[in-house]
Amino acid sequence: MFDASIKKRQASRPWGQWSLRAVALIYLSAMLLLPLAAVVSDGLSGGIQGLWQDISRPAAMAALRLSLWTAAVMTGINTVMGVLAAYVLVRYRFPGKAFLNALIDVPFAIPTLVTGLMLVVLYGPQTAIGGFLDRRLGIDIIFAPPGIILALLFVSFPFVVRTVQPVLTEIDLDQEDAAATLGASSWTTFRRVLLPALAPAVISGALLSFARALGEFGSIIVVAGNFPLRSQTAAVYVLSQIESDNQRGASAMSVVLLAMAFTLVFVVDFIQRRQERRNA
Amino acid sequence: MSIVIQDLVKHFGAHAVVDHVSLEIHDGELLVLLGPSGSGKSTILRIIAGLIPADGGRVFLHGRDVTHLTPQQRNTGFVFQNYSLFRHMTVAENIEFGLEARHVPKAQRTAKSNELLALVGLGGLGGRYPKQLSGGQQQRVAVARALAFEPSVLLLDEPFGALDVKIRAQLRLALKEIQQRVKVTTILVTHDQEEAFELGDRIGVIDRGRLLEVGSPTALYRSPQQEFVATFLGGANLMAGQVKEGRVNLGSLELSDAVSYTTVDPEGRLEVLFRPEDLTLATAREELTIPVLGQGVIEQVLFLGTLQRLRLRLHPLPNTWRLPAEFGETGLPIQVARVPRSDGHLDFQAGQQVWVGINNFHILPRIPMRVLVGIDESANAEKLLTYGEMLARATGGLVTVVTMAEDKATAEQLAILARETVGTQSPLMEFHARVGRATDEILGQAKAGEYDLLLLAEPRKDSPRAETTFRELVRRSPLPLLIVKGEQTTIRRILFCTAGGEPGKRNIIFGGRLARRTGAGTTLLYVDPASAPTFGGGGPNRPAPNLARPTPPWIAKHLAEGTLTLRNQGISAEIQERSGVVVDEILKEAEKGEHDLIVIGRHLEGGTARLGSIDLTSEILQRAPCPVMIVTEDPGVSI
Repeated sequence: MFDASIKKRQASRPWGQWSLRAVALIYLSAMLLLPLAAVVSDGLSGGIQGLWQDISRPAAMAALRLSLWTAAVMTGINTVMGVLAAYVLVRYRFPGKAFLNALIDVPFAIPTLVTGLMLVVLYGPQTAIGGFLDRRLGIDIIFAPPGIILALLFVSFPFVVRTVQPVLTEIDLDQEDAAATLGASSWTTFRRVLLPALAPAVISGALLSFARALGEFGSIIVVAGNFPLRSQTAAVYVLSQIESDNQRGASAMSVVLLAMAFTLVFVVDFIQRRQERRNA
Repeated sequence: MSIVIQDLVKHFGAHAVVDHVSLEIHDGELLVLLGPSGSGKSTILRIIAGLIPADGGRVFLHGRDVTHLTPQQRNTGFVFQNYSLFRHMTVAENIEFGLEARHVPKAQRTAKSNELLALVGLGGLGGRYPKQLSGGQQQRVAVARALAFEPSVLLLDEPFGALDVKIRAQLRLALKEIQQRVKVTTILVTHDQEEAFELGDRIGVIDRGRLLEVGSPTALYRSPQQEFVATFLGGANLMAGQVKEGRVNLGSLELSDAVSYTTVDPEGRLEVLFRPEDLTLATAREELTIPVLGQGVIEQVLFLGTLQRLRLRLHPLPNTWRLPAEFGETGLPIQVARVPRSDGHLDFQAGQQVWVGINNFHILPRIPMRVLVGIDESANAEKLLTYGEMLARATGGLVTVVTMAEDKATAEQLAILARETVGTQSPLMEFHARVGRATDEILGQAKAGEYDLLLLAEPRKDSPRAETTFRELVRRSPLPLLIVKGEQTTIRRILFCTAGGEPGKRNIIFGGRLARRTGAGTTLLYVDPASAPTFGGGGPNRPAPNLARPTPPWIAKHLAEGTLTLRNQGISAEIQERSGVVVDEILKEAEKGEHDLIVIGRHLEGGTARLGSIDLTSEILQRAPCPVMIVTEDPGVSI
């Protein structure tokens, strides 16, 4: 009924509809597709071969590797802790819950440069914690991969929590009760009942935070600096190439980052669509 | 005994959801817990399964005390209203889940799930996912899943609640058959009386966390012991009867000579129940060969297939009324059910005069407390209704709410608001809208002698008219009056004030009835008005004289008799003696003893108060921090 009335409306006002669509599509193209196309064509101006040459330089490869492995480590930690945080926030009542729930979104709102600064202030070699870790345990945080991972954990923390939370809210408590009466331990219940239902949301959240991490720049440049082959991530590498007037090198790395981002976003979209179909 | 529950208690906040429930269920029996929504029946089921911890009491399954065991250790099969199947598992995987948790080998699991699928009539559907099945099929799977690991008991929580009528009927039959074949002890929770009748070997009726009665469907239908049970199961006509000279009378009719009926009512009042099908109609009195109840007019004829349901109104009969009391209407509305003539002809029509004969009746031993709640525009209706509901709940009584205004629209608006405030579909609360002067309406009704207590709100300070109405009601009410004020919504401690020997026995008997039913403790307070005859006149600022005098012997006797009367009924009672300004001392004691209800006699302007001409009642009413009950000493009104 409702669909039908909408269709009727569309049919009776084709011009209004079309002009509206045209405006939206033109805007989308101008703002999103055009710049994307510009970077891609610039990166590919030397053909695939040229792109490969630009990427296979040691500094580029190192930057890419660093970005990927730190993002992977972060995603692993974030997934486990994010599911845990979401579970606690949905299933338990405790004082300060509303505040904690609001706090989770804070990384979205804080400028990432500030995030980096916070970590430097906390873990820098001159500070108590940083000094202790450096002298006693020989662990460098600042200007080193651990700093990058800490920064990434901070900036992408909300993704897993916020994708899992609504799904968890919708899962009936009776499901867990049913499993309990059937004799399943809480671990079995989590593994066999809760996790399969949560899996799509968990994977989406994990992939989104991974994608976010690949592109992270602000906090990393403060925490890790810009040392090629040591603490330079892919995004920071792009900056260094622009600064040294190697626009094509910057574009080449950008194309790689874009390709990965697109893939991840499409996979997430696919998972979410399938989940919606399943729930329908 | 497969399931034994002893004195189970569960509170959610201050509210007792399960209130001292004890129950024994035999091996292989199917017991239905029947009650309105929110009565605590599901909570009991979840406590048995271990999903909710009890605050008190014990649960035994097959002689094993499982009170402190986890759900996993209890081995109970549980079926939820919304099926709660695991959506990402196939039907077979769902059924095998309990076996898998018990590490049963795969081959055995498969065999068992196939066997159960056949049992619930879903053979061959093991490979499907829950969403590919209909609601009815899903619930069959849920039953199979709950039975797969051969649980010690089967617990079903409103299992058919989410299904449509036809599927429900099919599943009921299927469930009964499965249960009899598997011979598993089962508790089923429902609010559907038809379901309870059809499935239950026995039925336990629950209301407000209390298990009222347990018995076979026939026993509960034919001879219930409590009014709630009588009205909750099927159609019921209830009328006030009276024991007179060894016989039970109903109106002008003598029903029975065997007075084995115990009645707690001092006037010998009891309740007569007759079902709609217990009555026979005839156009002439001579046609009836059974006792004739009276004559009436048919108001409505409903055709229901097998049965014909008639609503009629009997002409007024002496010394009886309908229960719950019908507000301000003449005659006695009753329901009659009869098998219509097979030629399809409706042989009785609306508007017709008929004679009504009684084939069968049943007597309930006690008439519950009946409370009249008066609400006009000036009243704080919400507080009043909350209190009224609490009273109904505590006393198991009936509450009639009357909303009054000078025009019809306002009165009805008030009634709608009142109904919305209460919100529940309690069979114990009735609502009526009346047009006219509040005092006339209320007093007219109160005089009819069908109520025990009149509940009013404290008048608003900014309304002189409300104040006048209120004073008139307080002065003229033939019923004990309870004025709701303060924030109290429970009755835990009652303070009886006996300044100078007032009030007398009546308020102790009546207040005791409240105390007994609410489980409240009581204090009998005697205030010696030390500075008579001008005590109290100065109000709160006047210093209380410090002259302790011995209590006069007749007052000591009165206090002793009062406490004895209360203690005989199992009510805790203590005596407090004070001296000073009466009102001040009463309020001090009320505060000190954390009393939430003050009971006083009526001392009013021009009254015969022993304490002089001051308006003691008004002063207490004005200054009390909690509800005040004023009990009249008029001998003409029954308690």
